[in-house]
Amino acid sequence: MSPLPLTVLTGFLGSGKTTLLRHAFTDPRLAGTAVIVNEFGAVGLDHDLLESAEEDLVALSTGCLCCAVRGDLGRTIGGLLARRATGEIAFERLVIETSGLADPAPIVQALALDTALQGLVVLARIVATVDAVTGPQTLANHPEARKQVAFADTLVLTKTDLAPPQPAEQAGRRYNATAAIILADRGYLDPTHLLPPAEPSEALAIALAQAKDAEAEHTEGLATVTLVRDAPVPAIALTLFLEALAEASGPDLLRIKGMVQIAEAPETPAVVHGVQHVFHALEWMDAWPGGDRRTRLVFIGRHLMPGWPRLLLNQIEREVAAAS
Amino acid sequence: MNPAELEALLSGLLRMWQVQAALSVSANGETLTARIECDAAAVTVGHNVQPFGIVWHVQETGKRRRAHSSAIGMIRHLREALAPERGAARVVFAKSFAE
Repeated sequence: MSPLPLTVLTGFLGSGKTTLLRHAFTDPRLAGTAVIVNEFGAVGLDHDLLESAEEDLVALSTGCLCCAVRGDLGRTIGGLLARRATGEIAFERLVIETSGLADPAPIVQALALDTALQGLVVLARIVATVDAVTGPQTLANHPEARKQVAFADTLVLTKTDLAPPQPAEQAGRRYNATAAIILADRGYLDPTHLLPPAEPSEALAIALAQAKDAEAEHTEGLATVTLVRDAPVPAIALTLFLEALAEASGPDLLRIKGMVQIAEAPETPAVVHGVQHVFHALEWMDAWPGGDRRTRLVFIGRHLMPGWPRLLLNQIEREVAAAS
Repeated sequence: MNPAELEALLSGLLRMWQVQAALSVSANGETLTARIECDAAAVTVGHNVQPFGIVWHVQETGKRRRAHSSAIGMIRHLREALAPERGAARVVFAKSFAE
């Protein structure tokens, strides 16, 4: 039996990985693909946001994949392969969506060195997303982003409808001279770019060579804080809360994402996506995934204090109530 | 808001801004007062509930006391006083130019 091809989809926080996957999985060419979603935080959200036609084929791993990679990744892949062997699920290839803070080097290393995986899976390609809006700044400031780009054989420039792609392309080229560069079209990527290539690329060979003895590298002071809340949030309080967060944390707040139960529309979750100070208009899901209707927000930033976003939201809500 | 919440809110800001400061909070009825002292400045932050809403006061030593109607204004004022080198961010809701 030939090993199953595995694609690593990486890219910094908020650079559009989950959006690409969500759209790609509507394409029949990706049928038979198992997805491993890795998130840096106590509450997984991308898993809920990934609406796959084959939900059984989406596995979740939390924690920093690149720091706990050998055990966790091996176990997750092993679990999927075991279920495949019994006929419970069927798939022909794997995609790992790394967290936005993952350093791909140890992941590549683990795939190459984990004896339990050898002969079962083979690294076929590494795709990295680069955000046209914040990508150049992110690459300048965060070692994780530079490593993600350096290890990729394909760079996908995202959000090119929000900003011209040239600065992100030039910034990407600075750290990877051989990767193919492709533009996503408003979150859409030809899914063949996630499938195994006909022939291994030179860039992938370079990545495999680089991965030897690589250590995970992280931006100093990064923290993930989760806010889970039962009571719905008034829409105006949410807007003011985001503004207060931006005022307080400035460029150090790297990412906010999650689902919010808005008081004015509690039946449908509002999906919040923020990358640094840029927020996308709220998206509304049709229903609460898994029946859990609580607000769940994840904040990733430098020097964030656990519980602090909750305190701020409570205070903003009191101010809105007092002024109403 | 109680004194512990005010202290935690301000502690979180100081940590985020990497400002080493002495922080103390006191309560007088519903009025809360926090004192923040660091090398760069000494600032008093007041919080009280008025019939028309919540009011924040921020006063740097030797400067005029200013009132803010929300935590956003209080945070901005404090940042300018304690960590003026930090860039401000404004929430921008992305609008596609392809639309």
